[in-house]
Amino acid sequence: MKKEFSGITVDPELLSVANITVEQVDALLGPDQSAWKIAPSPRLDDYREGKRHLHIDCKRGELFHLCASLDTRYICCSTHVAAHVSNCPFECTYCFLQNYLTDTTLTLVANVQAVLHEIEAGIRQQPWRLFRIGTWELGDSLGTGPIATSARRLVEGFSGFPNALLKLRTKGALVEPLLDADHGGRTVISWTVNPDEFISREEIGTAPLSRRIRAMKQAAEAGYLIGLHFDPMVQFDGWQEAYKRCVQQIFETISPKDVCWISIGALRFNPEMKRKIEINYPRSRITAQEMVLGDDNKLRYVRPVRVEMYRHLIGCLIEAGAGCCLIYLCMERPNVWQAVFEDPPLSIGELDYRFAVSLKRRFPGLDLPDPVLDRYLTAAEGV
Amino acid sequence: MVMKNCYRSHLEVEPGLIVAEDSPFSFSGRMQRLERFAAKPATPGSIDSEEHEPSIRILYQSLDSSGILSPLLVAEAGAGGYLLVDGLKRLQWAQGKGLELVPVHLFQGKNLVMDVIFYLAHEHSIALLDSPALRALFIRFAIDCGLDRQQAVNHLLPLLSLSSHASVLEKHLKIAALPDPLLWFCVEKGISFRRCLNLASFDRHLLDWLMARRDQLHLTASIMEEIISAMNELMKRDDLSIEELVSKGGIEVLFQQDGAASRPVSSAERTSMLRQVLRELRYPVLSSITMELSALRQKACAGVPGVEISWDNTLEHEHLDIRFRVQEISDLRRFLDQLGQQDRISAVSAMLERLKA
Repeated sequence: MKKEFSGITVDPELLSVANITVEQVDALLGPDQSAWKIAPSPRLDDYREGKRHLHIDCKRGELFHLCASLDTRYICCSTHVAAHVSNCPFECTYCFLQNYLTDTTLTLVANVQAVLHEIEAGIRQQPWRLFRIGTWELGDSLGTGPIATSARRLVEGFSGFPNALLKLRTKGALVEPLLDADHGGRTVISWTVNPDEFISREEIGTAPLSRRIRAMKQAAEAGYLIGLHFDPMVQFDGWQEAYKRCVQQIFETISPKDVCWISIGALRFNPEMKRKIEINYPRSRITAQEMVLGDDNKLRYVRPVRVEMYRHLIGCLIEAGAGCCLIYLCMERPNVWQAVFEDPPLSIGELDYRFAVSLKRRFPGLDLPDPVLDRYLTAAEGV
Repeated sequence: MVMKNCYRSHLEVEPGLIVAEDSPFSFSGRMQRLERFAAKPATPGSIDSEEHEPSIRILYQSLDSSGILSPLLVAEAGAGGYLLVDGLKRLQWAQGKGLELVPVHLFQGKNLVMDVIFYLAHEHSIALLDSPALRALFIRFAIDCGLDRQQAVNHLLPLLSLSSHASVLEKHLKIAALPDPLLWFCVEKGISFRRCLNLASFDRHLLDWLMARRDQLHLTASIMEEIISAMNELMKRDDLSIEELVSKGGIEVLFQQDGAASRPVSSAERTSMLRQVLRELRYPVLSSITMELSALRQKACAGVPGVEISWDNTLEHEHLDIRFRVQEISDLRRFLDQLGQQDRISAVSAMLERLKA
């Protein structure tokens, strides 16, 4: 079996300060990753080299916060994040991490209990609110065995939270460690999805669509809610047909009843990233499309093209019976929302509220708080 | 063998003892590695002849007036002979003049390659520090001369004020793999390391194509980068070779002889036309909408002096900005009257619709 990592280090503070035992570290790493040493992070600076070294760390500072991409000029989903993973074993050509991380070492926070305590303290302050909390801000939520094992502890911890859902998001298919976990319906396992012709070219090392779909089915059968993210949605020759096929493939296997939300977001990156992609992946075509710089300093396809893409994909989703799911746009302008939806949310707060309403209505068994629009609007004003 | 200490490590030797055959190093000759070359003395007559490039004539004139100021670089080659490292033209001049001695810097011992490279790095240090492209050329030259990569990382990079890391070496070698005319363009324009590295990510044929047309264009560092970047993206997007792009995209015609044109096209004009063509190819949706909007604007503004209608060129925002100049209240009345005419309102309305579509 090919070694997954070139090296594994366990931070000395994890054992001395966070009181994690050697046995717990072994359990987290699993039998295939027995060779590890106690040492501080090597703080690698090479993006690719960093992906091959796993550092098991202890929680440092606050991890729980509102998604950093939130921009009040756009209508965003105002999700929260608890970034307990940094860097990712996969290598997507468009990934912002190649231009973001200074320490590229694949790092996993192992004292999950401390992360859960911080989250619990945060969500208690707004008991009326439904928090959606992701772990994918700086990496894949289920990218490798140890990360998935650690995610299982988060899943079990979230099962006791009355007003929060854990959002795990992946481009892999590693769901086995979660299948028999006591999730209490409080975890959404979501997949970034794209047509296979795009995955094979631009999402290096990730699972092909068919494997992701198989994993979705396993997760749905284990009672998890499923999320789908057509993000980044990309333009290439034959994209219309490719996305139609992609939607059909998914809903031939899983039922829209198990899908709680579907996000769509066109490819976007900042100008520095564009350079980075061109240098790191000279054969990639994603930077060669017609793009303009938005108010948030990100390059995107021109608006008429984006609107056409979104309308097409939403049409495919409705045709596949997924119109019952909450479909939303990620980081889009109000005028784009208006061009795409008949009844779009008018603000970040309203979209946040719509999540709560949709989940409450579609999954009454979860016993989520009753959503009150004014509270969501007021909370969003403070952003 | 006649040899005399000149100063510190410099000596003087008989030119006849220096062999230029198989001489491995010549940084001054644009770092081309010397091929097998039998030193052929330049005769006094040939020095002034037309066959020499102006730079060599200048060198010979300088040698005639001041002699050899900068010692030749030679290495001990055994049996009392020397191998020329650098200074072929000076040697030819000396032989042509029948000089008995020439000043040399002598390299001896086992670490010949490293000694020579480090000597040259020291000699050219100011230029090397100033120019990333020249630095890359020098590193490539050193590797070509036989300096191994580990030595380059451990010893040469620090000497060039670079961090001693394999990735730094790789980046410089990537730059050094650019076509030579482009590298010298980068040296000439003082192009930054980041820009040079960026250029190294582009298609080689594209770079060759542009450099072959350098004299027909007015290229600054940023314009060159813009053109290369746009053409590279078009080639990638439409899966075209450079030849296919220039013929299909209407670029070729810009470089053809002026023929029927009433006056010659200057390099600045041609550059501007090339940029315009590339913009239209690169941004087809924006270009076509902009054309439609411009035509509608003409309708809306015709006969209303002092009115400007503009929009967000990225099309992200859907509004129009209408500006007009008012000096007298009558200007405002005239403007409102004229802009209120049905055909103008229709044109503005059509513009708004186009922006929202």
